[in-house]
Amino acid sequence: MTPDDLNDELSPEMKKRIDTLPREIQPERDLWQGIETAISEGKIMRPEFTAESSESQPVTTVVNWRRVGLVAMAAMLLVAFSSGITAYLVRSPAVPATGMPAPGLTEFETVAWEGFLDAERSYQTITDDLLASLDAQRNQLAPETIEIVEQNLRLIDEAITEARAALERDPANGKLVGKLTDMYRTRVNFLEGMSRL
Amino acid sequence: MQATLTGSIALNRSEAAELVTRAAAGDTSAFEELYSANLGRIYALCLRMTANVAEAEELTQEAFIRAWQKLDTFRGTANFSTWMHRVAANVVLSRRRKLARERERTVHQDDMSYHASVGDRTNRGPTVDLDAAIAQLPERAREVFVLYDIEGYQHQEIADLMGIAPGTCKAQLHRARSLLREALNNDA
Repeated sequence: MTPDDLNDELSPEMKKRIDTLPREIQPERDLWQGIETAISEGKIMRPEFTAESSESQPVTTVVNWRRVGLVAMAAMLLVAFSSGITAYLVRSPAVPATGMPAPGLTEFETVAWEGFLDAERSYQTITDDLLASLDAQRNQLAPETIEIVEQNLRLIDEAITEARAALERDPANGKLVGKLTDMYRTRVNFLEGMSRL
Repeated sequence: MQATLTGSIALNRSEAAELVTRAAAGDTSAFEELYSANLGRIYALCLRMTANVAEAEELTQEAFIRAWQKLDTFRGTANFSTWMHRVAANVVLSRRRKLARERERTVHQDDMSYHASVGDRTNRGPTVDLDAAIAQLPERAREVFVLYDIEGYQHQEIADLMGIAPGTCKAQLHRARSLLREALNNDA
């Protein structure tokens, strides 16, 4: 069968059913308010990141603040949770931070530490790429969006710095490695989420 | 101006043209009237093409915002409703590709809200069966089916909108119809 043979296959019964479908459906919530805000104030419009549209005009979209809020809130909750765990994990007497793992690690711990450093470098590369991508789109983002991104990144980075310092004092602490890895993942997920908005 | 059964206000061509002129000059109340007259049809298009209530709402808003920004390109040679419909179809097809990954994560929840919405509005008659079956179609087959069989677009128009060959469009329609037949026969 060629595509040309596929035209005339809608049965009368199906056609009748299609004809009975309502041509209009009213949304359950008021959509005008968001539209009016956008066209009156221009505050929640921005050009989209990529040019998939066939039109030459820049594509505009409504920033989904609920989504921004959820991504931001999820990131903050994860950081808060991770920070709490970090605080618990580092309550033991601290070893002075040297910027390098403490001496005296077993061979297994040394391998684990090096593995963590590899993972850390990978996360950093991904993060740098995402940050560069977001930075390139900076002038297309609403100021409120930039503020949310920067605020959340600061929180995540502070938690990472704290956990990283703790890990340098206690490099054999596997739970701390896990939490720190979670934070890196959170940062990457957050940046990916913001890039998709 | 005449009220329809679904609550929309049907505008005649001269009324629509006047509202477009006022809206293009920045009159948001005129644009609100155009919105009210076209909302039901645009939302129905977005809902059927996405099978996702939240996405349909967002895309409906985006379609009207896009229309507002492009009002000066509307020449009045076409019916405003037809033009608006085209703008919305374009918005849905270009925008929702980007949301596909995100939607996959929440598809079950969205489908439930979609079916609940369909059930509420039609008291679970035969229309619900068809709308629910349409919602279950694969994305591209659903889009082609909605545009061709429900909205009356031609294959070439759909192919242009979707950036696919007309033959691909026909094949997707064939697939959609076969799947629908199967789904509805199984339900009978």
